[in-house]
Amino acid sequence: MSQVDFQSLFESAPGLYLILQPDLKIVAVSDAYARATMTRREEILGRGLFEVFPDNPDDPGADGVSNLMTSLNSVRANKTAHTMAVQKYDIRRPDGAFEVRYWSPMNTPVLDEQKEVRYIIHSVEDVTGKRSAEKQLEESEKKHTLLFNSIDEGFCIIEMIFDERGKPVDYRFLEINASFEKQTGLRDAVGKRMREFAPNHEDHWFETYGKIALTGESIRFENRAEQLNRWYDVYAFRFGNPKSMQVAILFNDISERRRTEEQLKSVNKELESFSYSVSHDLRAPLRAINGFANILCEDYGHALDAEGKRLLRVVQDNAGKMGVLIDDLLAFSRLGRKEIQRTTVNMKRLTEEALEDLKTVLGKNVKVTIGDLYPVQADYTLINQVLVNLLSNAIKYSSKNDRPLVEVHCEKREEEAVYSVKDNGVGFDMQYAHKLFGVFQRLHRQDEFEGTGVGLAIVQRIIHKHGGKTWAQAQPGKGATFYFSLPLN
Amino acid sequence: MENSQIEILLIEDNPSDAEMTIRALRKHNIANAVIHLKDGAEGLDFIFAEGIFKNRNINNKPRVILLDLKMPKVDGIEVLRRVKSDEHTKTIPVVVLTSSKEDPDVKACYELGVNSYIVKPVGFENFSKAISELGLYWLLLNQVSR
Repeated sequence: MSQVDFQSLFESAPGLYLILQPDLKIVAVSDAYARATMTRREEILGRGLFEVFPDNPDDPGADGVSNLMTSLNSVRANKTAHTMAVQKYDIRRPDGAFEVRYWSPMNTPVLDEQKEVRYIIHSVEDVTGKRSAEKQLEESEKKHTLLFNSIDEGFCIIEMIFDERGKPVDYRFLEINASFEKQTGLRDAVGKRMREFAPNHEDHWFETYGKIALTGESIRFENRAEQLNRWYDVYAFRFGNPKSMQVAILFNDISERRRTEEQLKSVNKELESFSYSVSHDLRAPLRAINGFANILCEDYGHALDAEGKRLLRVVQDNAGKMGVLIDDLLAFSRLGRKEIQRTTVNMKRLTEEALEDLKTVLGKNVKVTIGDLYPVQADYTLINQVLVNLLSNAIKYSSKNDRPLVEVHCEKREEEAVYSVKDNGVGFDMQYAHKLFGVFQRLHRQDEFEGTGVGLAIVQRIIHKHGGKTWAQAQPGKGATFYFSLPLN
Repeated sequence: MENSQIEILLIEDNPSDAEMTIRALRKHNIANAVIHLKDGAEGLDFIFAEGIFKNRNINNKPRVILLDLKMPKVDGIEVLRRVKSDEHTKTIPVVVLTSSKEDPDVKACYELGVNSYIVKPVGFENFSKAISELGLYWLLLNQVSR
C-alpha cells in the first residue's frame, strides 16, 4: 500500500481546521478554513494566531480574542479539549472591512510521547446560518407576542376534555393573551380548567368548542356566560394538529352593549305603552264632544236655526280633526320605534292594494296609471303606508281638476330605484318645497284642502329608515310629482 | 229585576261613553234589558253574585257582556279572565269596547277568548255588526217595553 498523503487529505478535508503550536503559531490550515476566513495559506503559515486574526478594532465589545485565549490557555494547562460557546467573529476581508460570523469552536490538544502539548487543533463549526434563522425566529416570535398581547380582544388556546362517552365536558387553558383577564375576570388561567372557575358554565359552550375541535368548523356566535355574568361575541376555530383537540378562541366582552340594547328595548316599550295610554285618554273626551254634539243635533236640531246648526257642525268637525290628528301622531311616533322587516315587495301589486284602500276617496273620474314598477327589498306594511299617503295626497290635491290624473312610475338606477307619484292638481310653489316633509307643515290652508300635515312626515320617516330619500317637484297650478328612492342591494 | 232575563250587561266606567251606548241601544229598542255597571269590581260581583249583588240569582246569566277595557280598580282584562276561566260563565259571549282597534289589549283579549270587539263610540251600526258576528241576531229584534 502506498503512503497515504495525509497532508493533502488534511488540507482538503471538509472541515474548518487550524493547527497551532503551543506558542500559538499557525502551522497548518485546511482549505476550507482559509476560504471561510478569506486568507491564503502561504500568507498565514508561521505567523501568530492573533496577529492573523485580531478582533475587529472598531468593535469595542469584541471578545473573540480574549475568549479564544482563555480556551487555549485551558487546553495548554489541562491538556484536554475545550469547547467554546458560540462566538461572534468579525472576519477581516481582504479590503479591510469585517464580516460577522457565528462560530462554534473547539480546541483539542495533540500530546507527544512525554504527554506534553505538541499541537492544538482548532476546529470550527460555522453556525452563522443557523444563528440567523434562530434570530429571525426570535424576531418573529417577539412580533407575534407583541401583537398577541396588544389586541384588545381576549385570545386563548384551549384543549378540550371529553368524558368516557366522548361528550365534551370541560376544557383546559393552554395559552392566554394579555387581554384575557380583562375580558373574563379569570386570573392565572393557564393550566386550569374552565369548570374550576365556573362549575355551572353552560353546556352549550363545551358543546360548541367540542364540535369545533372534532369537525374543524369555525364558528362565530354571541352568547351569555351566566356564572361570569357577561355576554360574549366569540370567534373560535380549530388550532394545530386536529388530533390535539385544541381550539383557538378570539372573544370580546359585549355585556355593555347588550345592557344598552336591553335598556333601549325597555325604553321603547315604555314609550309605546305611554303613547297608547295618552292617545286613549285623549280620545275619550273627544268621543264625548262629538257624540254629544250629535245628540244635540238629533234631539234639539229643530230648535236651532241655520247658524245654530253651523256652529254645532264646527264643533263636530274640529272634534273629528282632533281624532285624525291623534291617530296620525300615534302612527308617526310608532314609526320611530318599529323595526323594518324586509321582504321582496312587488311594487305594482302594493300600489294596486293601496288604491283599493283609497277606493272611498277615489272619485269616479280620477284616472290612475301605473307604469312598470321595479320590485325591491323593503318592509311591506311601511311602503304600503307610503303609497297610501302619497296617492291620497295626489288624489286630494287634484280633486278640483276637471280630469284628475295620477301617474305612478319607476326609474331604475344603478344602486337605487326611484318611484314617483305625479298628479295634475294644484301643485305648490317650489320655494316652500323644503317645508313639505316637516311634521304639521302644510302648504295649503285647511279651507283649501284639509289635512293634518303629518302624512308626508310619515312618508319621509319610513323612506329614511330604509336608507332612501324623498323629494318633490311642482309648479303652482301645474301639478306635483313626489319622488322616493329605495336602495337596491 | 232579578227575575227578568238580563240581555245585555254593560260594564263601562266612563259616564259619557255609557250614556251614548245606552242611547244608541234605546233608539232601537234594545235598551230595555241593559244593566249598566260602573267598574270591573261591580261587574264581577254581579256576574258571580257576590258582594253587593250576593242576593242575585247567579243562574240568571246575561246574554252578552259589553266590556270596556280601561277601567280603574279591576280592569276589563281582569274581568275577562275571570269570566272565561269559570265553568259556569265562560260560555257568556263577551264583546270588548276599545278606543282604538290598534290597541294591543284587543289582541290580548282574543287570546283570552273574547268573541268580538267594538270601537267606541258604540253606535247602532257597529253594535249590530258585532252582535251579528256572535250570531245573537234576536238581540236586535225590537222589544216590547216592559
